Amino acid sequence: MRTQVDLKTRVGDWIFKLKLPETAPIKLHRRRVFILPTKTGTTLVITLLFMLIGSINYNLSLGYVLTFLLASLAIISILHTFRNIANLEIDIGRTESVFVGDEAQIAIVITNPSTLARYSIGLRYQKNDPVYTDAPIKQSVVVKFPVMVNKRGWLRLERINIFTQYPMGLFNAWSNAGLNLRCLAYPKPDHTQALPELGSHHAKEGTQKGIGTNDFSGLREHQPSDSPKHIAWKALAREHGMLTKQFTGQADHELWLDWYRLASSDIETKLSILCGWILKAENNGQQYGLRLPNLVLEPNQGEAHKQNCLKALALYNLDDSN
Amino acid sequence: MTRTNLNFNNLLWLAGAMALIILPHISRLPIWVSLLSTASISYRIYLSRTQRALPNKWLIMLIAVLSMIGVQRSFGILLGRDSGIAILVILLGLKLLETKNQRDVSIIIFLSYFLLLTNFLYSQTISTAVYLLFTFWVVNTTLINFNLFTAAPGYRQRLKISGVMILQALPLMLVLFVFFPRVQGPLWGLPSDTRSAISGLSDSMSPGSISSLGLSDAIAFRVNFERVIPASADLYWRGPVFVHFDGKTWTPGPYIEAKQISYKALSSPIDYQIILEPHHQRWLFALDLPGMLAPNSIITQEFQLLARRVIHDRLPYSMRSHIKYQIGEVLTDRERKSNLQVPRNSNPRARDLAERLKKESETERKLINHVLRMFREQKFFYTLTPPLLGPQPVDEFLFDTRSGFCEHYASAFAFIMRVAGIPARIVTGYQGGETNPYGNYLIIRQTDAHAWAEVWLKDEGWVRVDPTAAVAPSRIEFGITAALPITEPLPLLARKEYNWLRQVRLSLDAVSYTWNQWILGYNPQRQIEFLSQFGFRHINWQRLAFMLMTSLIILIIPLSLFILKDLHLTKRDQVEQIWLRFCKNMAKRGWPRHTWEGPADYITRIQITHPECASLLQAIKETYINLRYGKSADQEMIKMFDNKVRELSTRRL
Repeated sequence: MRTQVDLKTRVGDWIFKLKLPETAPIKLHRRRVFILPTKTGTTLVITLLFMLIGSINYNLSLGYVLTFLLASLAIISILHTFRNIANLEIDIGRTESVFVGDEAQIAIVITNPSTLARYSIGLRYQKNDPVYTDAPIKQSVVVKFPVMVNKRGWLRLERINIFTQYPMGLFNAWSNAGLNLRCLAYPKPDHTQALPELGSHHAKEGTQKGIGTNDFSGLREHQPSDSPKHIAWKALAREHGMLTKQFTGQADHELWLDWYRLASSDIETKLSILCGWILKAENNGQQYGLRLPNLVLEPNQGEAHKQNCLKALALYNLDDSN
Repeated sequence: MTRTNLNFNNLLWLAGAMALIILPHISRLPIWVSLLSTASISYRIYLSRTQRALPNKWLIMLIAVLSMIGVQRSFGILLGRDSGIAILVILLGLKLLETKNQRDVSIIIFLSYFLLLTNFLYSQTISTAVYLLFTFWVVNTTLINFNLFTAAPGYRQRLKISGVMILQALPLMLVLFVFFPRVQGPLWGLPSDTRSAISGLSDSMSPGSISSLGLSDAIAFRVNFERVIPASADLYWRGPVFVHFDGKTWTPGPYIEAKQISYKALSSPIDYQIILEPHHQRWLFALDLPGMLAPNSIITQEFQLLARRVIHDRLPYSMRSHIKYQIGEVLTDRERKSNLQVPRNSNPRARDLAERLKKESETERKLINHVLRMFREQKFFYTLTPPLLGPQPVDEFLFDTRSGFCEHYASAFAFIMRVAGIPARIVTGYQGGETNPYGNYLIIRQTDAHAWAEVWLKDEGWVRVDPTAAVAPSRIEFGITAALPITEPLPLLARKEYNWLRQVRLSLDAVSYTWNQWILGYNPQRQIEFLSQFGFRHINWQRLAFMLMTSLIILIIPLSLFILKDLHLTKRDQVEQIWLRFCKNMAKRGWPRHTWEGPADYITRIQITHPECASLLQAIKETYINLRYGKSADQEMIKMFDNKVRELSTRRL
């Protein structure tokens, strides 16, 4: 889902020949690095002018020397600032998912393939504060810069600005990178509701027997969606075909976090409550299953399961996937 | 990894840099200015260390306004050169107290650069230049500090980076210095401001005037002779001439410009160039007798050269003189009267002596010789520290103390002459000078200051008589160090025993002479001279600007290549580039590489069709595979690979 692109950014893209999205890794080669004086740089020009006038008026030869030395230094700093950022390689790093309302730490990997150490490379996203890092010789560094997350789902950063003003702050060299940076935002957890009772029965399945997990109550035809844990292997070995074990009782011991059981009518509130439940259940060490209108996740526990559930919540009803 | 940049360390560096810049100014500023500035800076450091809040903006502004008033009272004016610098120093300190963000810091740093420049208003010697270059280096590093947002690199590395940048900037600076079109200042009238006192000759002479200069080895001027340097005994440098005597002090008559002046030259002219150190007076020195006017100067009836404007800057001028001459053939009545003037009722014993000698001498010449013989044969002493004289200095000198320096002798002599009816006047200036073998020029220092007399004789005109030559002839022949014993308080380095130190000093002075001529004296005239040496004619500012631009561009290209060389490809990239070149070359000849072909297969294919180059191709294949897939490649192997590929590209296929 592309964010709304304003005219200024569009023109900027055209001038700087940025074609989105770019394939990582990006190399900041000479053609895509631009350099312009900063405000400080223009103030220096004014200072130099005054110094020159002073030298002329009082016939100060050494005044000329100083003024010209400073001016030459400024010119030299163009080259230094440029080379501080040129030929760096930018790649996507591993960004941890966060909850809405938190700061995402977008990870970028900067690699310095040259034999020159780079200092104070800045990364800026839109109007946020920049983050600075060094890029030592022939090393890769991971830089994390924070972005506030307000909506659930995939947060996409389409353009980040990589810049530097090292060493003298007189010139700003930059390049815009259109890497496909993204971060998954889970809905903000609502911790106010207590976990539901165990054994909330399925609405979809028939009500013949309560389906639980512990007391064996019979066999039925295997269906593909059945968990392999419940397959009656011995029966299969006896060539009775694939059959699924059924259990009763202890249906009360299954924790189901059920969309349909929620009272509120607002989607986001429901998601928030479910999210809070997931975290609580995981914290308690319980097994829990998730039922959403579009998918069902069988009871389980652990980090991977938690992330799957949270991801399902995050992406619920949003039309993009990857 | 953001880090606020206005941290303690950076502020400390900034304060240090500012201190270095202000330091040379301290001796020239009122104490309260230096104290206020130091206090502001220190307080800011303290606040940073203790993380306290900065003072109120209005308080700072109040202090600023009060300081302005203070400066106005200390200096007399608010916008002069020295007062302006005082204001700058104070404001810089106060601004530091106000610094909250990066922008404030850059303003301070740029003002610091400007303050650095102001140091040159007072001194442009080599040592000042070296000190300020060092300070510039530190300020530059401070600027870099504020543009580094992480801990790396360390401070020593930062100094190194800063130094390297300055070195890289030097060639550009030289080009700008040589070619930038020079305009002769001042662009507007300089505001009159207080000048620091400089020791030197004054516009009056009394006992002690000249001997007080004996302690100073400050350079008065330097002289470059076109041919041979004349003998020391001929080197009388004419300065202020004094005509009026009040019994103790001699003062000049009115400076009347001589519209027409005549002299008879009795020897061939000597041409030379004087480089005069600024003495904030109008007189120009010249070897007796000056035969021409310097630019923008006048000459008085007493043959004294005066510049039209006060000399505030080092001034070079060419001059021509005749060592043997005749002047003043005719003496007007007014001249006679003013040169015979003696104060009433002063120095009675000397008067009696003069009248007695007049009776005893038949001719004027005999009278003069009588007095000189008296100085020579009787117990008269020549010393830098004679006893102090009272209200009748000539009497006391001639009869009581009998001990004096050149001004005592000249004054007493002239007085006697006048009483005896011979018109006489005092000429002050310098005598002799030190030859610097390292540059073949003459150095005249304040310690060479001298006073002598001129008397008017019929048929001869004004004739120089130097009584010092009678009492201490070695002074005239060899200079003051030869004339005085060790016990006299001569400047340390003038003494004979420190000869090796003198040699060092002389060679340093030669360096500083060249420095003065070519760096400090690089005005529009000198620029034209310098550039015409290289064959550039018809220099105007358009051509200069053009040459400047061209030279800058010519310089920047290799500089860029050098600075950007670290962006060079890694070895692997180098190898790849050469390989790509090889493939491109082959493709041009009709043998492009298929995308699925590995390098070995590709080259083998070419080898089959071009057996004549098989061995070369084999070498290329092996080297490339070794470089690409083998262990670490070294530069030599890459070079060899490169050569082979080039060789192949020149072969006919």
